Amino acid sequence: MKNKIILLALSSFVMSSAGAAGKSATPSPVQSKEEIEFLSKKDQNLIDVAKTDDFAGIITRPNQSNPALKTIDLYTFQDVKPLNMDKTLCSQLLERLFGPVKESSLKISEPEIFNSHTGKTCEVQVKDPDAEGKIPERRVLIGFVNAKPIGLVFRFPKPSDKAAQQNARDFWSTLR
Amino acid sequence: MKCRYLYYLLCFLGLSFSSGAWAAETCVSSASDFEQKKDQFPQIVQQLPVMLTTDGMWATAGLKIRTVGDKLKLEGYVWKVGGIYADDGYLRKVCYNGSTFKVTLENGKTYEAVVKSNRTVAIQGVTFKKSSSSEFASIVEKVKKAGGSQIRTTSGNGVQ
Repeated sequence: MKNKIILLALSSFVMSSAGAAGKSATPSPVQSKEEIEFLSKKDQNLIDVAKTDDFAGIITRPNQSNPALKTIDLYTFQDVKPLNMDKTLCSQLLERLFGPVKESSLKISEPEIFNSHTGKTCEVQVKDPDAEGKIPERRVLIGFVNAKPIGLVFRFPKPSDKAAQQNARDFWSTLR
Repeated sequence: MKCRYLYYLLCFLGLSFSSGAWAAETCVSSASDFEQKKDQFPQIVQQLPVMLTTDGMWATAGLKIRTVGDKLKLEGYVWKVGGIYADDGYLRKVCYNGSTFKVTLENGKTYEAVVKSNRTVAIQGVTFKKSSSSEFASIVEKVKKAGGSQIRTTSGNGVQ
């Protein structure tokens, strides 16, 4: 009888542990109409080694077949005012991602402002001149979702084409 | 009385210097700078590219520091649930104080790497060992295979 109780206790512990492991410990700061998974920097060691403090984690789109569009860096910016996107604010937030633009080894394009479902949104192309670099291009979208400033960084192993760029914007439009 | 305080002060200073507590910090900000000062850095990083790997219970990852022109660049590959995560960043400054590296990236991010031996450093609590090109490649390949090879190339025509 004693053995049975111990066995029961052990099996319930194993089952509860397995259940916990299957869940993402930290919920995503943003939601999407598309199916997404979120991996917080708090739950995965080392993914933030090269990232600034505003980096929140990685969004994965399970139904996206293009690897460059499947995994997206998510940034959530604290202490941002005003809540109105323009080129000046976009440049300030970009600096929080990549450091001072003028001192950067990366080639950062002029911010482009477009209207999305959440209002004015900023898009920037970031190129790495390193011929051996694994991420020669990044595309950054910064705007407001639920009045909270967030940034998405898509990382391309080859220069992006127009379809991929549109897909990135389309994904932004799914955010809620 | 004054002499006694002076004596204590001198003893304190002597002990501090002899124990290395005030070891001078060496900093480099470029590949040429590193080449000039590399003798002041520990053995584990004296030859670029530096390749470090870890393959344990807490993480499977590879880190590489290499030169791009006169710049220093960090490349990293980390296995995560569902796939590989690759990232990189240029280094603004790397300082060494006799036991710990302080690495500052161009984006302002800083992190520390504690030297544990001639062949190992600890970063964010994870121990990395110095690795050869083939060891590094095998870890990256393992990470790629485990992750379903997410670092594949996309078709593209280079449109800006």
